[in-house]
Amino acid sequence: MNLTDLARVHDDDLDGDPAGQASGAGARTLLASIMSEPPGQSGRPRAKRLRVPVPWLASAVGLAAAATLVVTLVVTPDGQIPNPSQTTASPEIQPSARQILLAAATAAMKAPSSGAYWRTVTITGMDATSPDRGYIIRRRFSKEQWLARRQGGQSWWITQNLGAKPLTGEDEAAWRKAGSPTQWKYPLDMTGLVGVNSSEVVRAAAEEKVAQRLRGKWKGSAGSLTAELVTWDELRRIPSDERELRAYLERRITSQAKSHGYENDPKDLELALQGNCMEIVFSLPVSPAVRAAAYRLLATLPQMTALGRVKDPLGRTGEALGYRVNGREGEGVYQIVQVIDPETGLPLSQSSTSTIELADGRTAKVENFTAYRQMGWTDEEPSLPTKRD
Amino acid sequence: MGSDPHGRFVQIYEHAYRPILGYVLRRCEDPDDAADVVAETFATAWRRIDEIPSGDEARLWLYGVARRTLANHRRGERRHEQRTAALREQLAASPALAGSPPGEYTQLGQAFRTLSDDDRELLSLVAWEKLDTEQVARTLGITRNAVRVRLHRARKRFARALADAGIDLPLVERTAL
Repeated sequence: MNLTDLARVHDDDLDGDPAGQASGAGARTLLASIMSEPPGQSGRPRAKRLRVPVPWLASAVGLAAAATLVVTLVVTPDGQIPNPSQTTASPEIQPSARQILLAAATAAMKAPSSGAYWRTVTITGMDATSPDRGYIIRRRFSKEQWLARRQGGQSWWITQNLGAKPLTGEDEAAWRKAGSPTQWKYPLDMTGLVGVNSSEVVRAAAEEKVAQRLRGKWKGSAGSLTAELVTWDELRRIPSDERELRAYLERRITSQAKSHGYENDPKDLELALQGNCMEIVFSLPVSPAVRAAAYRLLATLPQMTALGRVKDPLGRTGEALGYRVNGREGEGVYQIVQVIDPETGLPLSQSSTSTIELADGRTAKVENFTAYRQMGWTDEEPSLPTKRD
Repeated sequence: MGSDPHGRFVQIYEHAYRPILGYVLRRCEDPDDAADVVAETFATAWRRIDEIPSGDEARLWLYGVARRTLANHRRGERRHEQRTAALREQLAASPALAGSPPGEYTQLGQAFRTLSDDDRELLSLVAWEKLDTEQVARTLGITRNAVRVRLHRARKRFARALADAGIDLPLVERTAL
């Protein structure tokens, strides 16, 4: 062993590593984010950032190494919150958020709790402006996550870029007028454009499925809580009593805030608590009792509002709940909408919506969403595509 | 070149991304922190695009920025920004980072850690970033002569630390320094 061997990685090791590629998802997303600011700006970066962890957005960003995405939550300039596109007021009296969450808690108890893998199949959608800001295209990606419960079992991600197409009839008309392009090449300077990376080429056609073995920190992990991966053992220690769950999550949040040097505002704690419950409900392979406890805990939080019975981005009907996230000072308010299936207590989708102005002055709604097609235990084996990452 | 900062920055980024990521990963225990430092380093570069020297010197300049970012970061917060989420996910799945850092429990590693930050950085720039005297001088913003003198002293102190740890000095000197 010599001094060179003391290096944790060598630049050559990074050759074959997705994280080491300047063309990879991580590097491209970062580059686009940095260059979304004007150059030569000193002082605090003005990028709009969320204050609380929104785990589904993070996983949407990391979808596939091939799919390079930028997730930017945009707010309208006056801080107004756009309404979720699918919300339609139902004629009968709407149940409150609390009622919906308590019903979901009861329904969640019925879910099966055994199987070899915790399988989550999601479709992620990202609306993007065309390079000439003439219309909106919707990009879609699918991701299967197979987390092996057995110690030493192999976990997988199977991802696919499903391509892109104009979003609405109006967008389609504008797209035809532009010559029905089947690919969109974006400039380096992304001012006024959303949903893609600087200098990226977006194609209309879908790509092949890609399988990725979960390694590193993901090996033997049961998913993420408080933005940290947890082991199956840790997962089993999450309490299923609502009060104990609250105390457990508060301890986790406070100790993490301390170690990361965040300020510890009671308002922040409430929001973080909500984010954590969402992580449990919307992603973790916890027991039905723990999922139900997380729903009951959510029902005690004041920020949730019922938005009525809606269709989710895949056209399924469910109950919508919204909560607002305050951005940093001067950044306005984001609204995040969750749709849950009251029959099963399982999530249908999460989305954030905002409006932007197109080149012709038309105001368009752009949405980022993750829709859950499947979530639960299975004894099936993943059907692995030949292409590997 | 100054007229197209976007194009220039993309070029610099593509050229320097891997060396900078490597530089930071070698000096940061937690890959999540490393992602934050890489992000901050390049964000600083973008804000100071007009100051970045041309050619390979851009990389050396960036090492300097990364070094200062790392020093500030150790003192401060951990951000885990949205913009590094994809990178963090890739680093978390990286096979190269799966184990504990090499040399954590070796005598060589322990002797190395007894050195001052300045000594370690000098020796690392040579052994890990493979920089020559001229390049180290540019990275640290000091003269070549100062590099030679400081490197000589750092090597001597390292040799002494190794001797104290009972490690065969000539062998290590031959292979490492």
